[in-house]
Amino acid sequence: MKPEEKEISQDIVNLVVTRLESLPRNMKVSIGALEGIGGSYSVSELIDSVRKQNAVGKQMVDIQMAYLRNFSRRSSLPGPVSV
Amino acid sequence: MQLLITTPHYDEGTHYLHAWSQLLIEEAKRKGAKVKVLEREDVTRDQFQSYLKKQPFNLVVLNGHGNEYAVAGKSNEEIILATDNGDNLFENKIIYTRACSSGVILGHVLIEKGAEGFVGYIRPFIIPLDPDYMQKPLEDPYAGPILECSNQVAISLIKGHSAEEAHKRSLSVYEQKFDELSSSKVATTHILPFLLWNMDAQVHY
Repeated sequence: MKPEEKEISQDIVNLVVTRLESLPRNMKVSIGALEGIGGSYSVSELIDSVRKQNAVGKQMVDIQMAYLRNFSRRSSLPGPVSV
Repeated sequence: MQLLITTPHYDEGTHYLHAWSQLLIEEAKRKGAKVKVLEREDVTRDQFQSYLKKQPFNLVVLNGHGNEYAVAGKSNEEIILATDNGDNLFENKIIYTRACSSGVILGHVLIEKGAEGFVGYIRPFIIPLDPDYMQKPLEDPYAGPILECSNQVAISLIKGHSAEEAHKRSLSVYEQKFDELSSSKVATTHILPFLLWNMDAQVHY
């Protein structure tokens, strides 16, 4: 399913906006797509896109949620056993 | 080893890919490879396909914008390779496309048409960057780790490894970077979601 086809809950929008607000303000994000979402975006443009739930915003939601899911999975892995 | 590499340069994303590709070109030359670089305005479909027809390259590295079916050259309008144009020119070659989503369809088609191996991405390739480093992209603390990990694919291929091995070696560099950045308190931890995204999007056939 393409990002623009998904419906995003307001809780997830708020979560991703909070995460993007923590990005350094000097950061930009370049998306190398040929059409549609291709381009470079400032942090404030990314936050605005997530709030509007446009294609760039939905891409950011996918990226942040994939990270959170992965990080949660990694954190739940058992650590080394000391003897 | 004969390498054909494209390095277009027309926006921030391609500016960074162009700069980081210079390391690949240097590495290939250091390894004694014959290298043909198509850069900037020279990355046209005619030039690209003409070189592929004339010279027995065994490794082709494409940098630029892409989608599921195509990769662009000197501009988004200049499609140098697509599933319906030029996909039959890669017999016995390994291709690495550092371009969005080219692993979804294009990579499979290239293999069906006789390519030896393919490494690419099944989702958009993302580069976080600091505009203050536009004049020195190799030192950009946000883009650096991500482009270093993706460069590893091409470096491994230049060393003669298979597409599968190059993919695996790149993934292990991604894992190292992930662990390094996860345990640090510096601002670069903010790039972790993008690093992980590109890592998970990388595929080989």
